[in-house]
Amino acid sequence: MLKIEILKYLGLKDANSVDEYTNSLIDKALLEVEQQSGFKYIYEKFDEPLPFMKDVSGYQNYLGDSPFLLCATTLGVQIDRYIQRLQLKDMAYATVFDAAASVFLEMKADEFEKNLKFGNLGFRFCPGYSGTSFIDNQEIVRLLKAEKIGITFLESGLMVPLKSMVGVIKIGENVKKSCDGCAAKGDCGFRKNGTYCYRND
Amino acid sequence: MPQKETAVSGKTEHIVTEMIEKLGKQIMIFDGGFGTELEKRGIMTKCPEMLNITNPDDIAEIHKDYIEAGCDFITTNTFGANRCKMPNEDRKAVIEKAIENARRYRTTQYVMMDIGPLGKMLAPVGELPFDDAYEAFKEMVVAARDHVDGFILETFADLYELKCALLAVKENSDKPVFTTMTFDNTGHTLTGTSPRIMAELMSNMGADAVGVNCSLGPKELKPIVDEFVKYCDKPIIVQPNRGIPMVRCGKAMYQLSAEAFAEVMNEFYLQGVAILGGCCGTNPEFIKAIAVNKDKPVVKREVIKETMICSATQSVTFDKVRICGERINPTGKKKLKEAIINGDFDYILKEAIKQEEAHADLLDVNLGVPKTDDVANMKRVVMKLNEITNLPLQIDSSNVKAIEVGCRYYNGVCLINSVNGNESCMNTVFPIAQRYGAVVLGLTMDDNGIPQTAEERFAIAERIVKSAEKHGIARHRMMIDTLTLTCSAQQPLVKETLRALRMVTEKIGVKTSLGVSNVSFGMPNREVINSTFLTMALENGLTMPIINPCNAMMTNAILAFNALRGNAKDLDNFVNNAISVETSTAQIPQTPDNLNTSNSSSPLHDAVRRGLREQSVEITRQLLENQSPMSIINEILIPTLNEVGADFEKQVIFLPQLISASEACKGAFGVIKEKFQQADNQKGTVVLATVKGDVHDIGKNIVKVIFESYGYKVIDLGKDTPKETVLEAFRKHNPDIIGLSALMTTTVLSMEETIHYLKDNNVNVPIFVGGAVLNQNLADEIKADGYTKDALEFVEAVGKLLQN
Repeated sequence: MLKIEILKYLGLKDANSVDEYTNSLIDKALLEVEQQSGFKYIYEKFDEPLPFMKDVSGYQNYLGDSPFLLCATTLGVQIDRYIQRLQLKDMAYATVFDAAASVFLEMKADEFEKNLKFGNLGFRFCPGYSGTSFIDNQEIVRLLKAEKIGITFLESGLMVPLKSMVGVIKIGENVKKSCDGCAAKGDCGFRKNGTYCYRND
Repeated sequence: MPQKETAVSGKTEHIVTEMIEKLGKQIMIFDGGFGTELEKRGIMTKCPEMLNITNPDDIAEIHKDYIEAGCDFITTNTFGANRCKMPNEDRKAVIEKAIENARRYRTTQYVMMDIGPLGKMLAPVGELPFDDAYEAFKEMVVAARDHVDGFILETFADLYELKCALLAVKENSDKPVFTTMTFDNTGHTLTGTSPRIMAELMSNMGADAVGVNCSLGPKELKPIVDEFVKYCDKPIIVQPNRGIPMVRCGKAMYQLSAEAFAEVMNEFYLQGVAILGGCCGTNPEFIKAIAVNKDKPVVKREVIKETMICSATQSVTFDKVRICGERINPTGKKKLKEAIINGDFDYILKEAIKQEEAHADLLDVNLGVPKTDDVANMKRVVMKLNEITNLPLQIDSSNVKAIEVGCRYYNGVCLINSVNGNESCMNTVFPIAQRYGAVVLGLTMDDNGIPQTAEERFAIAERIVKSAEKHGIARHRMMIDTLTLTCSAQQPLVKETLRALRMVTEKIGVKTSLGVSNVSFGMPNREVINSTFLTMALENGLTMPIINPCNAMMTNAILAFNALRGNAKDLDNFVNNAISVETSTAQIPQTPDNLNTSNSSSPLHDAVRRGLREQSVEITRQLLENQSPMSIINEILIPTLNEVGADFEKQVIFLPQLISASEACKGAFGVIKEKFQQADNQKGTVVLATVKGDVHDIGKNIVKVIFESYGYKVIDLGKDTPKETVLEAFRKHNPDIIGLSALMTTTVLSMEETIHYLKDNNVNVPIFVGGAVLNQNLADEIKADGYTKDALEFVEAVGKLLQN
């Protein structure tokens, strides 16, 4: 499963056509990402929409009336350093490692969320989706005090460590992972390829 | 107001003296959490520092509650009052008011200016330059220094930022300074620093108390406190959270009782911790509970102090022989010299990685090449090495300014190479070592040169160590090099070096170093002489040979020496190493196996297609004996690359294989360029940069490899590149094309700005753009001259453009 996700990152549409060489690089990368990773996840529950969400259709469509979690997660700065190092040593492997790290973060976050006791969870809705502002990341990080897990921002709004994610997750008994309410519905690259932007398992 | 402050300043001096007298002798109590108290009063805001102005009474009352609970130290409400977190507010006014609030009810307590991290990651991992961070901290120090009794730098997660903050305090104030970091349950900070490493750097740099705050509850902090107790020779400060918060209904709740908190804090007191306090979740009740130990004598403890050099994440002590890698030193290394002259920093960094993989324990960094700016180069290389290697560094230069810059920007405790017995040299170098907390290597020579006898060299060594101690540098922070002389010219003196080594080891008790290969200059069979001399030196007490760790004969000599002299583990090490060497040479290199290479007539074609860099280099070398460079390029390399490119587009091969093949081809081009200068820059020059504000550079680096594989000269400006740097590179290198990369929508704005700036400054070559978020429309909108969807398409487009 992880491999298929990594191959997607690397631009391969047909996972069955992957060669042994790339395959072995992915195996190695997954092992190493796990060793180098300092996975952290923090969250907090909210019942009412927060000021930055009010009157923003992207959030309204996604959340409806559901309570939600704000979450922030990262693999830590050592991964960034390691990718810099790999790029000097072996660009091919660095590329695979970079993709593996992104997928690993998603996987660890999914795993963490599975153990939360809030009933059903929607997919992680990240600021930037559906016309919402990327800048909201900073507000979420501030509210969660995610500086404590090492998440910082560049002037441009990019997060450092690079392998970090910030999001909103709706919760509740009737919640399910679905594309309903997504602004991209109808013109979604993932759906055209028969996949989702979230894992549905 | 100023008059009142002056009067209080006078009082401050007396108070500071009293504090220093008590510190480490009597138990002292810090205050506790502030956020909890703000929440309790219902005044928590986005920027709690502003409450100093809007709610001064509330703030002063919180301090009062802690004073009544029995604390000795009051922390000002200024944790984030820095220019990164509060860019638009009147920070000076906030700080002054915060100090006033802290003082309102104080009687005998010490007011400590609170300084937290800036909330930005320092470059090169982030984008905040070290010097800018320094200025931000300095501004806080200057605003507070005359009105507080000391400083507390707390909750730092990045050792580099803490070092920067400590320098800002030490260089701008004489008041005491305490430093604490936050560690997680792995026993390290978020950036991988251990308590021991933190303690070593902070203690060497002269922090007055060192320890841990926040992080976890007292019980969970136990292993971290244990490590401080064992290794930290400064008074230890511990300020835990109120346990681990339980998540209830999605909210974090602290539950530990004040009694349970105090119970563990009492254990810390019994271990020899000198300052006790609290952090998140604690309140005056907790401080009252731990204040029962107030004023008791601090329990004495044994501290392990030994020679230690470290990066932020890795330390080296000399309980066994340690290898200092000599490859980043231009003496006798033509390629490195050229790399330094041409600013090819990647070459230097790759040398570091190679040595690390060859089991070097630390790396020598010497960038001294005539007519180059070794101070600027030292700064750049040290900062980059901070990012890509965990190995500690030896900062090596005959230029004191380069040494100072190396020490200042290094993230850890470095080894300075070197000082000698000359008075003015010692008076210049020791203060630098003291300021930056370095270990120093002393050479046994002085104004009269290198003495002939071991006794004379020993005398200089003694003089150096004594002078260091006068400068406040303890003996364990000194190492001695008794100087290797060339046996071809001074054969009788070789044994004097060895005798001096033994004398220094036995009588002064410091660790020793030698540049081993100097012994064989002008001799045949240098390796044999070197490894034999190395073994002789090891037997005489050498602890840190400076050698090429990639030379198996030398490293094997060390492994064998350890096996013969050390314990059973060293013997196993030798055996295991021998086995792993055999296995790795027997292994078949992993290669892409889906390539149809059977039809090809050239082994070079096969090697490139399979991405075998070393083989490609070797075959090219052989081919060059009978074949012209141009025919190798035009008849083998370019057609092979075209074939690989076509297969990539058809998805017969994938990105990793394309990159591997390109790397192999780049290796082949490298050999050709080495032999035939005229083959250099056949195709053209490309300037590449990831734009300002963007640190995702993997895409740009893939483009770089592909261009180089086609024989283009690439000037790589790296990531987060200011537009001015791109213009400067254009003027300096006269490129045919400029390529800009950006990953995110937000950084496309910076890309647009760069393009406009370049065009306004008459840059008349095509500017291409690429990156995940771009497309042709966006590229047109920001006035780029070209856009391609991937690296290969970019190379093809540039090829066509240059043909025309």
